[in-house]
Amino acid sequence: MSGKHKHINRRAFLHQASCAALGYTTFFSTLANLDILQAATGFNVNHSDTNDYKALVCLLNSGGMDSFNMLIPTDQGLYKQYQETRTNLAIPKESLISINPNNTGGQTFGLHPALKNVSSLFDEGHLAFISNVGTLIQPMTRQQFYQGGIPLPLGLYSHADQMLHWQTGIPQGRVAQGWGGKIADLLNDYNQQKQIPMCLSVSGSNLFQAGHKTSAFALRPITGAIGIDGFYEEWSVNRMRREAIIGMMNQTYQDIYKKTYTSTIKNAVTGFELIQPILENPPVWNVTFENTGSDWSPSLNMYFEMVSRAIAGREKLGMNRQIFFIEFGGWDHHDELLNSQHQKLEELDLALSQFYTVLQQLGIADSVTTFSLSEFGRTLTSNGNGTDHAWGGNTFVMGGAVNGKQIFGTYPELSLGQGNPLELGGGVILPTTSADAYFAEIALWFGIPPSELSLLFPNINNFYSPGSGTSPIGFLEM
Amino acid sequence: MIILIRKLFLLALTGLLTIVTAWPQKVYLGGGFPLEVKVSASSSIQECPPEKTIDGSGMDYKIFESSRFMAQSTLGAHIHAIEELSDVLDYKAWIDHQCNIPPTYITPEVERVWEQILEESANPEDEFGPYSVHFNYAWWTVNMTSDDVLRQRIAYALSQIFVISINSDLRDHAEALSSFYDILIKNALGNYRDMLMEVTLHPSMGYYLSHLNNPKEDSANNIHPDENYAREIMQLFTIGLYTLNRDGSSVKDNQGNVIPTYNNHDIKQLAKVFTGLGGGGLDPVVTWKTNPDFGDGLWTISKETPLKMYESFHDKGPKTFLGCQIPANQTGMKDIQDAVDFLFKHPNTGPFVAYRLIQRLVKSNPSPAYIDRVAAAFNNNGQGVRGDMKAVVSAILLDPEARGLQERLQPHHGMLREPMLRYTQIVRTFPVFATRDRYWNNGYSYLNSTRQHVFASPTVFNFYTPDYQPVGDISDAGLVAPEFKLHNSTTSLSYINDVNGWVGGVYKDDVTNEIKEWGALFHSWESTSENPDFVRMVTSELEPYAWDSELLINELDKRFTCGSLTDETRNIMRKALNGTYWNWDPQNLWKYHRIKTAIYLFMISPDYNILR
Repeated sequence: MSGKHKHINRRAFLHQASCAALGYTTFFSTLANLDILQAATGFNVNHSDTNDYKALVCLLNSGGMDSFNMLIPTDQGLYKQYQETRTNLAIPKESLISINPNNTGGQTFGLHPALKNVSSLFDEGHLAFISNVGTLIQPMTRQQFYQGGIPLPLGLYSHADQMLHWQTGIPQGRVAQGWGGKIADLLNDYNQQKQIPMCLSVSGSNLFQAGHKTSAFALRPITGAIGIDGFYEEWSVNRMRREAIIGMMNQTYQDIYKKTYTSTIKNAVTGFELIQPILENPPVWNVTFENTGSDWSPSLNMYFEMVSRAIAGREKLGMNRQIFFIEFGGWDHHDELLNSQHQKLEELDLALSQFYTVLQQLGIADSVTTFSLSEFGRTLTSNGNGTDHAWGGNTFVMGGAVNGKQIFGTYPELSLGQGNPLELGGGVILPTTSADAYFAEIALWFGIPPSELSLLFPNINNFYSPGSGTSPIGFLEM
Repeated sequence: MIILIRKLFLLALTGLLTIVTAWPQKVYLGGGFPLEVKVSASSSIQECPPEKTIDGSGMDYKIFESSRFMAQSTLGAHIHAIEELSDVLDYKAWIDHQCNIPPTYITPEVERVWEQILEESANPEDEFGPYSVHFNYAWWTVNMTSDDVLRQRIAYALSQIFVISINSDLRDHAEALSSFYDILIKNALGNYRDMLMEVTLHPSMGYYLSHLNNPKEDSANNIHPDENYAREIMQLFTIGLYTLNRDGSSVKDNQGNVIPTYNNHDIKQLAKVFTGLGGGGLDPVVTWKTNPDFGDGLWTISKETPLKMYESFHDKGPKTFLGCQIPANQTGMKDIQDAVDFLFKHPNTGPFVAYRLIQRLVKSNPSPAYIDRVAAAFNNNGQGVRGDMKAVVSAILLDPEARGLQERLQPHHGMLREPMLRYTQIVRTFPVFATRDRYWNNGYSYLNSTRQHVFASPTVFNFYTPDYQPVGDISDAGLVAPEFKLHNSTTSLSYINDVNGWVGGVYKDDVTNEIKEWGALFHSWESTSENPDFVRMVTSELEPYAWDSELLINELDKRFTCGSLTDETRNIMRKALNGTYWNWDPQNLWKYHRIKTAIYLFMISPDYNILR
């Protein structure tokens, strides 16, 4: 298959599709820049089954979620540990929502009182937690941590670096590509009829979706894609402006800044023409997404609503694989942890449950996996009324393919001092499940062959044998 | 007739000769100039009789150079200011002059805004404020009217290093925002050390990075000092993550690895230094007590008074971080001064500040030699003073890499203009008409469009990090371009639509037969249909050029692209502007449409948005 031939076909298809079905005249004749990759580095996926659809929804809880107040042990002794360690930040046991994991050997857990819907999703088997995940280059013990010798992630406990590592899967360095974007590079061929990039972001530019060859197309919550005002009108002034814009954007630039500036605009216009009519006409679903935020800072459910619309339009958009990104900031609770986190978790709880209901109504829940990232867990100990940056934390995954109602990984002891082999002082917990293993499980489910995992996660062999035939953690039904 | 002759003359010249770049010497036809320099005709009708072109005195290169300097050193300039500077082209003298202009502060303006709000209100007791929107009104007012343009530009750049944000409870307190911003204005051309200390003790920073009401260790209750400020003062305000050479490159160990500047032990030790700070005064609304107490929150304490040390909440033990030893039993404030001094004097701080400020003012990828020269100025202003901001700013703006032609021709020279700087430029480039003779701008619509507005960063990490690499050619080349973090498929087109709204349109009033323009640069939230409160630009200064697209383009090239408009873009624009013409309209409305289209196309062109 020659790339050129495919490109021409794709273009012809798009031209027809956009002129006939979609509503906006297209003005840029080439779509080459929409997706920089032209099958040069991706796998040659021999893919005939157009019903094989999968989507990933990456929810970045930026700021560092205090996830030891999200998932809490409720066995008598363990809760007491929790309470003694967290002191004034411990949530009273009676207000926790009990959940019933089926893989913890009878050990009981509760969720933060704001997570009512999440607890139902868990108990119904649609959601799982993974305990004490963190960035690691190699597994290590507390002793090894203090002795040195085993390499540590760069910039441990720092927002900027840890945010980088969770999105890149390369904790020993600072690289400009994220693992979501690299997956899109590799699996580009899944979307043979693609009209827009595999990666869609509802939170603007981000590292997670930045590949070597592909980048994300940005949508807004509530309104979706954006077009140029007046661009489609025929009054002479508008026509002159349009022609000039097309002229400027279609020029070839040697200057890489100008080239980047114009290609973004060109892609935005092309993408708008293709995607907006689809986003504006979603199927009917029985969920009311209500914005409880402001116009310029909508509540989280509105982000998931936009993802729902794009998923609903997958066939019209020619997508067999989609990767979405939502950043949900505001978790850096050095201060006012209890009140602030309650509000955030409530917002999260509603958004997840509304989204899952829509996916079920679309009959696509088994094909969409939503997973959480957060740059670090927070100190178990209090700084008065908040917590500081730490390391290991708890994440969740949601979807029909998730082996729900389970808690994976090993939930750590929460005591302080020598008695706890994972406590590094100050209430920092050494992670026991590497973020790489967490990512690898998701990548495998999405279609990355085991043999290629180390392309994405160079340290993965320190945690998992890709040839073993087992899953790295087991939270997804492969 | 005379005009026509001039025009023909100019056209003949522009046909023969093309784009200009600058050269700091007298360049004129036949004058002999270096190979790289191309010369175009001068183009200003009023001031350019043919003989001025012949003897070189009317050449535009000085205006282009001056315009480019002002793009780096101000928030936007009217053509008269550009011309005034171009007459002498003495940047050093201009900087000296700017440093002597008394600072214009935001807080007094916030007070005026709030008084006016109360005066105009039907129910003053129901008004909420002053809060962030009133800060925005004041910020735009100051930046539309003040003369200390260099200082204001540097203060704005510093607001992206010393970040606080309305994405926190600070949004409810205009004076918390304004008095913090005033620190940046005050010290923009002062000393970095003073600024660092004032920032550290400001209630807004104390709140934002949570060292306000941060008590000493309480081991019985597992309560340890908050580490937030300890970490960020190092990572974001002074030394950064890795040990640097003076030229900004990382020092490497024998294995070739970068060397972290600090570890978690250092953070824990430094966190003890920042314990015991509480409110330094009470908010004027507080009547139930006379003195602040440790633990009083943002609503209770004064937002303008520096934080005070409450010794009994301060950790009295010794602290050791990065080799700095702070002895036990000092006063809390002495601990903080010692720590701030140590960080200020750390060898990383010079290159750290140099790199960030160069990126804000001149280019995304400065050479190590450029960083080194600026860092050297930070380390010593020539009179043995460290941290002299005037020396740093001068070193940045006067450097050959900022000014020189050779550097400007380098392929990697340049940067994407920040969305905010495009906005400040358009509102300052042309005269404006304000319905209520004031410049109140709520700012939120532009924030919504471009994700940028003063003090609206999503986190303490600013709108972008210095090392952000957009996918594609820039990251493939191993280069950075921070501002591209804000340039994506929604923001890039929202910006274009905002420009469309700014330039607006024109119509003929059928009753009065007057030509009326519409379009608004600013909106206040106090605007009503009966009593509008908006600001729009006045472009009548361009009318004399509107009949000829080429002249109009030349005029805008001076203001926006500093003479760097390429032939290709010029041709595209000329075609669109020539096409904006009709002959049936006695009012010549097409002229206004042509002007508006020209501004629109300039402001969205790659030639303008990439500042080279």
